[in-house]
Amino acid sequence: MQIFTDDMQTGTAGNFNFSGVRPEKLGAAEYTLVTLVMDRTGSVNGFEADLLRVKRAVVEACRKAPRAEYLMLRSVEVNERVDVHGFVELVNIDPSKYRAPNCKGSTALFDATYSAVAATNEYARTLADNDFSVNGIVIVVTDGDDNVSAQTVKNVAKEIKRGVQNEWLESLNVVLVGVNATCCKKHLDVFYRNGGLTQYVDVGDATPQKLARLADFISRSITSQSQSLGTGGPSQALTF
Amino acid sequence: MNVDHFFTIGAMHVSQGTPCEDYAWSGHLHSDAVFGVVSDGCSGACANTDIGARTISFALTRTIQSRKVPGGEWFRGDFFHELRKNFASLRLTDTENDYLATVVGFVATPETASVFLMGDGAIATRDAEGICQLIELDWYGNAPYYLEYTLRSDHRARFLKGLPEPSLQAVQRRTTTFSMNETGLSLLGSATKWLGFEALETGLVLDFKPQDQGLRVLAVMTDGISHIGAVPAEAAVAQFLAFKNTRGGFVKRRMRKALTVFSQDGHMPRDDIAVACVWMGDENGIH
Repeated sequence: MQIFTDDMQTGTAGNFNFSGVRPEKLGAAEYTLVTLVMDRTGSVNGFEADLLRVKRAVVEACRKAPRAEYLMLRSVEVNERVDVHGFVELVNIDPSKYRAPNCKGSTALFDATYSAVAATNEYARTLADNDFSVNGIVIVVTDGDDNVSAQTVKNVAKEIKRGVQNEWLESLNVVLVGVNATCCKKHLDVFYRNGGLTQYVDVGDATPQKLARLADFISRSITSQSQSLGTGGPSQALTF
Repeated sequence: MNVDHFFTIGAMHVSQGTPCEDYAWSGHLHSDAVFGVVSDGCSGACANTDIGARTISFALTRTIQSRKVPGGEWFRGDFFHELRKNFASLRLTDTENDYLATVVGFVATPETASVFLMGDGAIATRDAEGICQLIELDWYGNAPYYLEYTLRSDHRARFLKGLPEPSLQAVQRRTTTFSMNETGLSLLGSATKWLGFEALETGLVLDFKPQDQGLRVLAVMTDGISHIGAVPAEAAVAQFLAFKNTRGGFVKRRMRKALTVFSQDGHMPRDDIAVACVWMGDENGIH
């Protein structure tokens, strides 16, 4: 699904490009920038349809939330960090148009996390320069540890702090979600701690029940972060 | 044209645990006109004047919405009589002093705009060149003649007794002209004059010709704009009207950012503030 209209502009974060709605086209006074980063490497072959259902369920749930008008969503699928679509007001997204990815390649987890955070920081800077109040949440769903990233964990940690330190973002939550990743749990936990991420959730096996719970957890986390905008700090981490 | 509004509580009420006594409202009328209104409940009344502030705002809104008059006539003819009637009919409480509140409102089309003020408050404009004009009205002794007083048969005479020279010195009108650029605020002119009681007894009406005057912004504000730390009113207004964009909640965005910057410099709003504003320039622009 590509959403790029005349109302969008492109931006650069390091070596990565992203897009977002032009500030002069936005109406609200504040936004929570949501980025969903979904693994599309070879190892998720077999449950890519389930992950698609998770994404659709998250978007559907957030569209019905009281603060839906204050959410902007960017969807990214990673092996090569393909931008499914840039930052768009969530109420303008039709989740039925999302398609299951073609899964292949290796996991560049650190690159994916870094680029999602960097794009959030840069777009937040654009919005903050235009008087918008902004906070953010990045959710990275993976089934494996990092294989091929150019970015380091230290760079990820630095980038996570950059937006808040520069006061472009009031707060930023970065949630790492492991699905079918029990074998990499130790490595993902290390990434969470050393990378300065907000939370690491191990979903366990990708059963329908667990994935439905995951969709609910993600949409609640997004809503909670949106409700914390204006309080000066991030929302509390929720329990999966 | 885009219209929006904003109001916020001042430090005084926060520390006292009392509600914000300012209110703001805005919207589109049935025609191609927009309206905005702000109101300020009397803190000294020790009453629920937050209710009065909302009541008077909605009374003004209801009055202008029900009038089918040519552009520019919104606040003339029998407007004042209808406003009093609507204000008297919207009562949530039985305590008269709950309804002591000022009101400043505008109705605007691209060709014509009018402002009505009863009590005290401020009116600001900005033109295409970035030149701003701020008109502030304050009553002698900081004791405005409220719309509520016109509903009390005995109050007029009592009020006049409190003025040393009612026909000469009841309301001070200050007009300041300034601009804002990279080097800061430039004061271009300022004038002060006293008005007699009769000039504001049934409110003050000001008319504008936005297209002819090259106006881009018309705003109405409560007097809290002159109580933001040590920031002069014109410096505050220059920031409040420096919109980065003009769609949707453009007044809320600018006010929140401006007040955040002021507070970071140690200037907190002591009093409640309310602003309603119409943008009359390019749809997506700042010109």
